Amino acid sequence: MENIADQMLEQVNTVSDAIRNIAEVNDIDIATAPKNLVWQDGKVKLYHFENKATLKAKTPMLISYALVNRWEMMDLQPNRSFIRKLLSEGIDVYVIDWGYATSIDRYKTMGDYILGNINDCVDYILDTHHIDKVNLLGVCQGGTFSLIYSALNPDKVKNLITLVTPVDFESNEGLLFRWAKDMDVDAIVDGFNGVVSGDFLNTGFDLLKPMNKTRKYMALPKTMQNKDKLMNFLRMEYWVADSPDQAGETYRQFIKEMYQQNKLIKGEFVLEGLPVDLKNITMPVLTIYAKHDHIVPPATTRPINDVIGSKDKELMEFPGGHIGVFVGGRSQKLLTPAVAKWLIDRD
Amino acid sequence: MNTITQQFEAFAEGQKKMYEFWTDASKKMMDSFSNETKTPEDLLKEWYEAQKGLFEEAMKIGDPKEAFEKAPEQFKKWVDLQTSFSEKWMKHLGTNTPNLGTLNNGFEMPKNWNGDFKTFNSWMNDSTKWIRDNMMDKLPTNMKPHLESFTKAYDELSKYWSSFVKMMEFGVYHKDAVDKYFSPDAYENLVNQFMGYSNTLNMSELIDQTNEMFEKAFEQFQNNMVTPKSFMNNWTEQTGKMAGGDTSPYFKFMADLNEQVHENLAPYYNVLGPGKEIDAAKIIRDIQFTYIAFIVKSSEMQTMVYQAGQNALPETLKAFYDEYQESKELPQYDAFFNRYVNVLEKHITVVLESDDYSKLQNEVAKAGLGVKSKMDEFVELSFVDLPFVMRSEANDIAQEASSMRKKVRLLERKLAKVEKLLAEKPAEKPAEKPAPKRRTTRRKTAAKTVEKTTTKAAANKETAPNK
Repeated sequence: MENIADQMLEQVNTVSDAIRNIAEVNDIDIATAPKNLVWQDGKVKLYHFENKATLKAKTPMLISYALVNRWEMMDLQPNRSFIRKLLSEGIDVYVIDWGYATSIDRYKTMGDYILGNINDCVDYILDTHHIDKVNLLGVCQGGTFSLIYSALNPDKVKNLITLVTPVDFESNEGLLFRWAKDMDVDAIVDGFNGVVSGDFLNTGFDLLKPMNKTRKYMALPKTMQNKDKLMNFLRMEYWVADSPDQAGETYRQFIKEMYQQNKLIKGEFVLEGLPVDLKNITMPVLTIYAKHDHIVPPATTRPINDVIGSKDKELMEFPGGHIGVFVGGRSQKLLTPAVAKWLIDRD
Repeated sequence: MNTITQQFEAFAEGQKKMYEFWTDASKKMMDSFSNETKTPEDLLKEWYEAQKGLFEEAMKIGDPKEAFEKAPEQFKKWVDLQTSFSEKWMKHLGTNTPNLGTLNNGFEMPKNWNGDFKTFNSWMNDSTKWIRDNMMDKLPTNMKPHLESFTKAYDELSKYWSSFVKMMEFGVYHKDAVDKYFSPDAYENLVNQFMGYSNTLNMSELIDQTNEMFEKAFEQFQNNMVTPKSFMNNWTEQTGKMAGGDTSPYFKFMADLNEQVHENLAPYYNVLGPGKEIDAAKIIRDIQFTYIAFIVKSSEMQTMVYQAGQNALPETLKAFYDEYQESKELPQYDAFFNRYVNVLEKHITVVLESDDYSKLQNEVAKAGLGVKSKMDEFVELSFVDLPFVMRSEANDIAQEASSMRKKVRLLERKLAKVEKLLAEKPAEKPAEKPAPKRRTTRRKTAAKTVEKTTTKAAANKETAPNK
């Protein structure tokens, strides 16, 4: 058992380390992997990452992140960057940056995002690289968008990867799925004048595990003692805070037709007059989900394998939660190399 | 520069007091430092000289910008110095104080140490405050309220720590007994900090005050003397008064919303023409009822959560009491706080997963946004003649933009189909042009004439004699 002197010394050291580390913090740098802006349409941008490694897969990969929060989670810090690791494994990577919706976007629909922006980015890559097909990786809602795009344009997608992507919204396993079913989404969208506040979404996410923030701050004294841990903590804070507002019509349609009516997996979803049949997805598909994901529970992701038409299809379970699957240590060692190998084997 | 010197002065003064206490404390405990080459006074003097040297170095920096940029190095050097001296003193203290016990029992120091430890605690409090303030500065703006709420909750519960320690030691954990030390109001305040709620207060009183406020606003319209400026001034005054009262959290929401509207539109009051006051009055009524609904539903939702978590504290106290029976060790405050938070979350989650909560949460969101929506409508009606684009007009533009996007995409799709068809179609030989039809009469005659002429010319040629 420690005596008073040891405890006092520990307290003095904790405080001294924290003061030293906090005083040295200047800028909070996120998403530092070098990239170039190669295409833009209004707020939507396409970035191409610089890659000094030898490419092991000729076909480039396009990442379609969710509209909720920002794609920078995949490149949050240099030593735990999903994107940097992919680049080092020899994959040519592009990412769509959706930008920040404003009132002019209030009527932007899922069709605009999928048949417009994603298709335009795919066409740009196909033209630039003189190829017929691209590899597509969709994350969370971006994965749902990617499934729809691939079902409508199977001739343009070589390989499809979905990461923590919901397809079966019938499940009540996650609180989000439970609450969305009772949501009067028309009142929400109209109440926000057509652009749903990012802070409103963040409040909802916080309530899924109401004491997570408290636990995070409880660990702060230990975090502050280590400069690297402090910087990582601050990076995550900045990423969480950076929650873009949502185009109201897309939000309305996604909540109604996915969460409430589950149209996609039932084969009833129609996008601008085009019926979406997931059986039209015949290219190789890799579906990755996080074992302890409370935002997109595994039960909502696994059915992808049952409803697509692909013969070459695989389910992969990784430890961790919705975000941890990207930034956890095991992501670098397990997830990203597995994704790269899967793509290279099918190039 | 002033901030840096002030901070140095504050810490130096605190450090000086702390080392004076340690010197005194050491003298009380030990007869001598017989094995040491230095006396406590020598160490103190050495520390003070080093401190002074560091301070003078900081003061030499003339350029304020450079001083600020070098601040981290200065702090680093200063902190390293404190740490090394702390370690020296603590080593002496530790070697010679095996019987002092630990800090486990809620920082209850042996009585003859109370006065001396106040200095140490004061230094720790100053340092902790510096850390909190500067950590807050590093966070993004919309994350600061979360850290503030956590800090309040952590500090608030710690006020009851000495009581909790006794309760764990003596097995006092039944809810009725716990409520005597940690009242239901205190518990609700704590949950409000964790969940970001406002105080529910006396609901009927709140509703009465709300109605009173709205009725006063409505009276202005009935008097037909109202202008947008007079109405907004009066409304601002009413909401401001209510926001300062006992029922403040709910009225603060209304007052904040109103303040934003009022500030942004104040410059335009003098150029306004007559607005649609009658329609605006109707909207005020709608806002009144929607706002009452928001208050009532919020209170109902929060009460569900309070009730769900009210057994978390007794459960936590019992768990630690049971462990104490085995180990005879009581927890530190942090371990207690962590366990309590986990147990509280477990209970609250049961309610969050229920159908009733899900529906109620939706109703609260709907009512809150309904108030906001009506306020926007009210503003637009009141200032209908202002010479700039209103929100509803901007919506029309956004709708046109969206429609055009779709049309362009449809055309692109059609074009792509056509291009594909053309690319797939095999190349065809150009069709032979049919021979042009000869005109029968005129041409024939002409031909004959030409023929005759030609023949004649040819004939003449042939017969012409050589010249």
